[in-house]
Amino acid sequence: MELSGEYVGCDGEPQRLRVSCEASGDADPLQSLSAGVVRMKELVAEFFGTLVEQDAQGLAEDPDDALDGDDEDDAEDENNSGRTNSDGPSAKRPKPAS
Amino acid sequence: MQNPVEGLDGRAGLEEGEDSQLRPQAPDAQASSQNSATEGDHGNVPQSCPQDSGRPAAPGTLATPGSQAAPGSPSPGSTVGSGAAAEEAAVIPHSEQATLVPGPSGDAASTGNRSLEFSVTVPFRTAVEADMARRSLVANAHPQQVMVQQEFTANDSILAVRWTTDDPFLFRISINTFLDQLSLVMRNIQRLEFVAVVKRGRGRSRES
Repeated sequence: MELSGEYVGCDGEPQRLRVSCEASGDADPLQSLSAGVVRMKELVAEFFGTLVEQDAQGLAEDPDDALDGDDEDDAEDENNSGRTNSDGPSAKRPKPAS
Repeated sequence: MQNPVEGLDGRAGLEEGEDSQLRPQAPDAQASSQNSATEGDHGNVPQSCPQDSGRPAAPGTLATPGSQAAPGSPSPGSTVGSGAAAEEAAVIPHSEQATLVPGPSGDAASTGNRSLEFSVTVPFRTAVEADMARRSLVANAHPQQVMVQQEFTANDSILAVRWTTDDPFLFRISINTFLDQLSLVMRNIQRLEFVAVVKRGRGRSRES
């Protein structure tokens, strides 16, 4: 006798939780199953606790993406500054000709 | 005597004519107001003297500035209308921005949605026990079906339960609640068996 649980995340990969509920000797099988339920509850708490933490970390990483966006903006600013530098010489060129 | 009176009227008419000629030359507002006053005067003069009625051309020419004034008033109206249109144009971008703001967030929310599944299989000793457990758990599951979808299936002596949701946190709450209720159901089944055994014992003792 086995009490089993299976989790399927967004990636579609299944993860299994198993608890054995073998009755020893003259023990009542239903009582063994009850003990298995308690054990399964502990496993579920541990499993989803970790999962929730990972999800929270994933959300926390989103601001980093925003920072990466800011870095891109800085790069664009550098490009713009380069353009202004290029405009300088073009403005200076007419002066020597005159 | 009548002749001197007519002569005076004639001079007055000439003076008025000169004034009317001068006033059109001045396009100022004062000139326009004077023109309107003159129009009133001309309106009165023809009634008294037939010679003045011979000068309706002057009122006609004066009427033209009046007609010009009439379109002048709508022109400010049209400008006011254009201003209103400008305001409407100014308002529209705000509304568009307001409508656009939830769009990306809505898209982000939709892209953030993901379906998660968790299932548990519980092996009972008999099909009767599995069915009893299923009936009890289904009754208690109704309040939780709003955010988390639950499916209970009893196949022979195996009870299978499946949850579907987008939030792992809700998963944890729902599954823990189920396991607590499952423990209670098992205790109830054990008690029912105990009661049954006791009743059988009593029956046998009575028979003996």
